[in-house]
Amino acid sequence: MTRATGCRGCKHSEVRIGIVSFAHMHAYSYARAVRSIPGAILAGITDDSEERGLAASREFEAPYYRSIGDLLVTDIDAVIICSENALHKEHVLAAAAAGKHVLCEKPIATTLDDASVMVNECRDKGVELGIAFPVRHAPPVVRAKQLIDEGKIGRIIAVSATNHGRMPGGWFIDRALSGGGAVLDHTVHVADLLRWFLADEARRVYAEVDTRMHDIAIDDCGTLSIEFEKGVFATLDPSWSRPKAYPTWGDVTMEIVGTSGVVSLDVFAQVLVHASDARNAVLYRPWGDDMDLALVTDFVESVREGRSPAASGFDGMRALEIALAAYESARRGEPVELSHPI
Amino acid sequence: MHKVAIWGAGTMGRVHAGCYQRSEEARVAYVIDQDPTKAQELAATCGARAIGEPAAALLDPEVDVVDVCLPTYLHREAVEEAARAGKHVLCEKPAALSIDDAKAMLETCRACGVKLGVAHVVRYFPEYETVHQMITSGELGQIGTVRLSRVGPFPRGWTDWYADETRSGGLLLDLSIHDFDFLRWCFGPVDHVYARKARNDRPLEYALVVVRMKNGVIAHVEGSWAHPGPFSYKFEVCGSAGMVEYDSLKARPLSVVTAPAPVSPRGGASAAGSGTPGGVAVPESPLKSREPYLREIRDFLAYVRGESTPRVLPEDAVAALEISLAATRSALTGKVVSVS
Repeated sequence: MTRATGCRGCKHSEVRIGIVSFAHMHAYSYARAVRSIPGAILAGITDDSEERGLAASREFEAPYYRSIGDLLVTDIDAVIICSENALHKEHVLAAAAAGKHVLCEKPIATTLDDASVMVNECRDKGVELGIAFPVRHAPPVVRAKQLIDEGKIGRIIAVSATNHGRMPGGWFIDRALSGGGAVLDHTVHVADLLRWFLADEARRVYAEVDTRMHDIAIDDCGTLSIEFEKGVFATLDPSWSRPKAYPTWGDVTMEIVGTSGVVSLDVFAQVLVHASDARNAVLYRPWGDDMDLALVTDFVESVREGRSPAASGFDGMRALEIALAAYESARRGEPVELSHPI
Repeated sequence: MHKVAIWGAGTMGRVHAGCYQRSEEARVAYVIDQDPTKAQELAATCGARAIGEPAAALLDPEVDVVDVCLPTYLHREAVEEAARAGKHVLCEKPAALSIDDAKAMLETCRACGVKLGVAHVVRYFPEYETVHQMITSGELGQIGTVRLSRVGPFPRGWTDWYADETRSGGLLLDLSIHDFDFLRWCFGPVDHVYARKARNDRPLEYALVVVRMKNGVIAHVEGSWAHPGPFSYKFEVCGSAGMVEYDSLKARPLSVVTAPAPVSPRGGASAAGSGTPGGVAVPESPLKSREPYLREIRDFLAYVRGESTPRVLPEDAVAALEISLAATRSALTGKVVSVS
């Protein structure tokens, strides 16, 4: 039943959102975003860590449910899933079975088989599956896309990209839960941007992958070379190479080279340089738009309007395919052709 | 006092001539260039004799050094001719277009008993020297990734020789060789490379190369003759104990911007005097004792005198060339290419 607000995709005047797990730290930012969006309600939280879930429940003033089943039987419209990568499939399938729309943290899954089951199930159950690629919503990225589409730099020939970060530790370096290290964690964002900017699919991936900077049992560095169907090539450095002393967590940069110009994108450059005696450190203090808020706003609106979110499960699967191909290439020591299973 | 013949009065010939004059260890005696205007202009700045053919310089027993600043495809012939005349030779990078040519140059210089230097000047740039020292001292811990970038507009040389791969070897041979040489200097031999490169009629060349060093370091080299803005270079070195980043566009201790020239009543701009367009900042990074080209020249002259081993040996130039050629082959074939 639709009310005057014009909510077509949900049952109430407000969009009621549940959060499944705070294992991924982005859940905190998404929870704040939901609470700040007019017409959106953070209606419930579940977490397999009761301690973490109860703390979040108190912080965000939303009821805690002991199990995902308990949350999914409530009247929520949608869930944001921020569990460990290997648990995404189970949680997405449960949400789909309960008829709830889903925004799933990236990467969509740890295997292409899991990803394709998730995409198909959500389609069959008639729920939207969005993947959290917030960088698409950053205004400098939106502007870059606009410049590219206007033909400002002619035809794109190549892109040199980075998505550096700090070594996150925790479950991110436990292969059973994460499915991969730096290369999985940090390839999918830029892979998604490349697919979006180029309106094209990757056809070949070459990569060097290794563990060289941290004493961990998972990859912490690498470099990918990706070729697209129409001939554009790109490289990406997804390494967890930022030291603890670096003034910020990392970066997303893209040098987009066209036949008549270059777009240099440094997504997180809107910062103050803060020299703090209290923390004995120099820190970047961001002042740009909040891309997590824009991501969640798009998701809430997609639920309200009954449309797909900006980045779909399919997009998430294609980004995952590039990251997994990087591991395969590094194992084989040669470029890998992508098969695009679905 | 060394007496030098500069062979080729283009951009690098001018830079090197100035360094010899300032070195106080040498003076430029001849400038050789088939273009009499260019030869005379450069010769006039250093009190040298301008000649169109090398014979007079090569036959002058007082000349002990020939500095070859010709386009790459002319290096071998010029170096060998100078060596046979008994002159020590400093040759602009890259040494040659092929390994065979480069090795022949080394062999000829050896057989003639003259020293050969190849001007891989990046090893003398203080920012690169500093990070090299940080890497080799272990201060950065075990190095994981290295990113090197060198970008600028398409170079327009004499008869447009850069645009002809059969004469310049293209971007990977002419430009990215600086970064390949730097990688070898820091980390030793390369194991394999994977390169993608684009060309366009604009003209434009752009290449992204993944390099795996034998010691395991993962390197990425960006080379561009597709950037319409100013020439610039960057690096980033990440290790287990820290990282270093550098961008030549940000390291600008000085920049000058002048008011736009007033528009005359007839509508034309009056003479600005400075020669730079008004309203545009022109940055500079002045150096004195650490000026790279001057120290490169001094290092070579000390080698000529037998006082020291230079930072760049001829064998280093051959090895850098091998990496460039491997990357070029990878870009053509789409395959991973091993570097011997």
